[in-house]
Amino acid sequence: MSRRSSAVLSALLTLVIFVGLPLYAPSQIPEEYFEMFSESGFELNAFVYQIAAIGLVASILTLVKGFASKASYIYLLAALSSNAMMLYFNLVTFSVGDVTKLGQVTITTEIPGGVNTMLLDMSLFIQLSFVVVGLQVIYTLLDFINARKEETKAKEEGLTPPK
Amino acid sequence: MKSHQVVGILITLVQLGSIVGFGLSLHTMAGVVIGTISGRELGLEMNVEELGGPGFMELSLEPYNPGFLEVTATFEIKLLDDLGVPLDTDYETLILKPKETQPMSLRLEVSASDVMRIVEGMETTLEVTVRLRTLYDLVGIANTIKLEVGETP
Repeated sequence: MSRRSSAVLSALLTLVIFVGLPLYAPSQIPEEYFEMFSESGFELNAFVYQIAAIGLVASILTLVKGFASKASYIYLLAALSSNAMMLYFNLVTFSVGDVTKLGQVTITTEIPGGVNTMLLDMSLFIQLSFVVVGLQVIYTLLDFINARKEETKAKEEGLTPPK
Repeated sequence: MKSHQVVGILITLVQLGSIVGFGLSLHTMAGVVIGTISGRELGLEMNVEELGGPGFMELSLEPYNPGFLEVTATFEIKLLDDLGVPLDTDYETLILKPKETQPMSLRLEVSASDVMRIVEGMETTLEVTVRLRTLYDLVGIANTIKLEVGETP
């Protein structure tokens, strides 16, 4: 499969999983659950739209990466933006929609005769996300440098640069 | 091996580690919470041994860790007066190894004068907190239930 067709397929898959599913799933949730989420301080709709927006941008970036030459600055910019989107996705997911919480989420719900407060500490996974994205940035840069070297070499040998 | 291949392998290892760590931590913590609290009534009652004397409350639990990781579990109960001042507090910390269960008991003692205030209608709140830390104390959950204490005939 060529780079372009694999990018189209990957972008479609991203679109279905991160845009289609999150936008469709809430329609299957009963209204009282929305009220319950809202009372607990968790805005489900805002969370869903954030995931869908990330999915849409990620799909576009996948397409750009598939169609641009690996040695071009457009590819580098798209790849670095993809890394940033991945970090943002992890922040949104582990902080249940509020990125400022950095993985420390408090959910308060009313129960018969009182209040239930749950504090989730997932900051470790936020820290690991930063490590992964940092490594991905290094990988992207090394990959880009290699592609540039190969392009220069190919030009010198009078060959077509690799796509 | 090229340097970017080494970085690629590192990325895969950290990602796999994160996914496995996340899954195991959630499984362990959810298992302990469900196995300890859910499906059972707390059934806390203030007992007074003699009229006009001090009272006490006891909470007995048998936390079970069905997960694959060790858990440090802290159970705490507090009785607060109408101003939010604790009348008494008790807590116990257990280290639960995988598939292990340990019985524990917490006891609150309330002075005779505070028992009188409660009987006279003072609003009292009972706070039950369960704190769980797992994956070498790096991941955690804390659940606090605040209940208004009412007088039962």
